[in-house]
Amino acid sequence: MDSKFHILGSITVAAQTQELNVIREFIARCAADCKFDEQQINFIELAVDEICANIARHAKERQSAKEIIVSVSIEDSQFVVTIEDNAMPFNPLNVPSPNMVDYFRAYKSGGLGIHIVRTVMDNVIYTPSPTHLGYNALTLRKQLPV
Amino acid sequence: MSHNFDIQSTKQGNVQILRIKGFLDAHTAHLLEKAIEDKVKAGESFIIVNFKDLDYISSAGLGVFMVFIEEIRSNGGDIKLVEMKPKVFTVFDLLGFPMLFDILSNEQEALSKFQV
Repeated sequence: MDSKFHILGSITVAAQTQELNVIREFIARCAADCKFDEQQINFIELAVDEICANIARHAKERQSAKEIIVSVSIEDSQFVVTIEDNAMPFNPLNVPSPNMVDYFRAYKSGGLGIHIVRTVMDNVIYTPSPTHLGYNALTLRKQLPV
Repeated sequence: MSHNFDIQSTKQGNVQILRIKGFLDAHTAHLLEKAIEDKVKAGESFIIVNFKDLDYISSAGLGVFMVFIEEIRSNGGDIKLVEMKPKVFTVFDLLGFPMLFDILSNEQEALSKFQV
């Protein structure tokens, strides 16, 4: 086995918000196995939750995605989470991060999920499905603890 | 269906206290939203949310407080948040929510601030 890459696990669930706790438990277990501290485990759990919640919410509104696949691997000292869905391609990273002072001043609500993901993870990349029957992927990376 | 989330409501004087328990995420946030909405519709403006037994919050949970804070403050009231575990406070703090919300140690502190 290549020592720079190995798969920690994968989970496939229905694209529904009731599955979020199952996804969080899976991610928390993988992150704990990699010796992240409690706060970093919470942040990784939160980032994955935010992405999957967006997919599930859109699935409900537009009946798009049927399932979500969350896979975790280690690549070059990085904890890598790949979240795949079979919805219509939509790049959540096109949504700009809000200025929080303006956000609070205007008493806005919602639209913070991707901002959280960007804040707590080191790197986020979106790869749309190459075909209309394929899966879109969002890849989240975080440096492993030393 | 199990929600892994529960709300207990009680009243002390003219202050509504909501004690929340479990996991506040995109699946359960609507339950808290409905509970606060019911209080606001009933004319309640002084609300304490006790987080002592809350183990997790995501942006869907944070969003619930943003929905009501403007209306409640324009009515002369407030939503005060108390007894957050460090894990939950960190999420509030991550995005600067302490700028907008009064986050306090316990219900007594919140009650005394409402009585000023």
